[in-house]
Amino acid sequence: MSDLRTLHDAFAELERRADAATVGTAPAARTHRAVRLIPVAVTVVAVAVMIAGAVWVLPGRPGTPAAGPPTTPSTSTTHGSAPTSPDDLIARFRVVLGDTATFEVTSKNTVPGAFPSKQPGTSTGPQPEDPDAPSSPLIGGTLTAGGVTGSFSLMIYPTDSEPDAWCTLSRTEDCDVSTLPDGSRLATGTARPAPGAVSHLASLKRPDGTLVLMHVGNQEDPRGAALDSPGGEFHAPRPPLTLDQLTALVTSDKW
Amino acid sequence: MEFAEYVARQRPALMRFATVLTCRTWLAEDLVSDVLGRAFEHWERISGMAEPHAYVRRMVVNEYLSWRRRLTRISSRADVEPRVISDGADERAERDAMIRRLAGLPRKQRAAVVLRYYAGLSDREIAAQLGCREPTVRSQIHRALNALRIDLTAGVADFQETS
Repeated sequence: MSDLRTLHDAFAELERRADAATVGTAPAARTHRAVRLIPVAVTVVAVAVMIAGAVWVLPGRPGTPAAGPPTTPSTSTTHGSAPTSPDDLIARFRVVLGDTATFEVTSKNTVPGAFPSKQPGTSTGPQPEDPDAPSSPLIGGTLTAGGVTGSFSLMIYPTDSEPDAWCTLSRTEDCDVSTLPDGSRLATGTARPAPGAVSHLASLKRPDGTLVLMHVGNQEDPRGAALDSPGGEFHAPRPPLTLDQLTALVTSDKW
Repeated sequence: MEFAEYVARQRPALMRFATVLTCRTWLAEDLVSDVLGRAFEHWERISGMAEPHAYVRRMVVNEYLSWRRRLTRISSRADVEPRVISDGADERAERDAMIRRLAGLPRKQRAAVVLRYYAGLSDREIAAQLGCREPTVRSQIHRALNALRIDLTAGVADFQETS
């Protein structure tokens, strides 16, 4: 038998490993790099979002209500340049969405140019901002289609990462990855992070290196959340768009 | 408090907590990154709470407990990180054996033990964090201590239970 001192010794050793991993010196941490659930490049993106700074809230103008959206991926190769501001992204989203749905933007963020990650696997902490790198807009809010309201988030940014990296980060169970005729790489899937919670993901890496990332969910958090956590409240039994509808939006040639 | 300031101050503590909880540094990194990403999205609300750090730590516990599917999927590879044991290092051997037993606990039992003996929470506070009743907490801890082969009567005074 052991006593509680041994348990505290174990805690102290685990703390030591945590500290060592944080500064990137733990051999044990490197042992499992190959099976990390979240690719470091994606973590860099998430960290970039964390250090983005100001978030301000501004209602968007709803679009017009809706007929049925397209349900198959576009094969067009024409894409505009990446949007440079949340307002730019909102304007483009309104065009792409057409009469598919209405939406209201509740958060507009500008993520500093902390990506793409040129050296994946070399850092696990917050990344310094590159003042010369372009900033990327990220918007989120509510979206209503067919009488169902849910949440959405949308971001377009340049990256070295593959689109299916977001499947892992978003806990997508059945990630489907394909290559479109124009060479774009498309990843789609659905996550069910908690009982009753449904989050659809579509992530398109375009030939120009920009990634269009969109989530729609039936909770306050479009990526889904634990039921008793922030973002865990339900809007509806299902997301406002089907996965096919979401895919059609992300692959639209109207961006 | 600005989010960046919070991360700078508390990320090391969250990493330690998550590592004790998961027994795996790489998994703790994922867990903390994921939770901080979610916390950022709701920081305006969280920062207005009386104890933002306690709330974020609860998010870590919730996230950890909700990772059943992912942890099950990787369980064959997610063994406790191996450590080299020096000849005659009995204390380290005992400590590492304890880590292995800790890693082998069911998640709720492990969370209860960590919240009690690492975070120092009371039964009532643990019950609130785990979403269960106090008798359930006591039962989880009792089973966990048996599995960990810990004899409370063999402990020294400064490691007595806090509630």
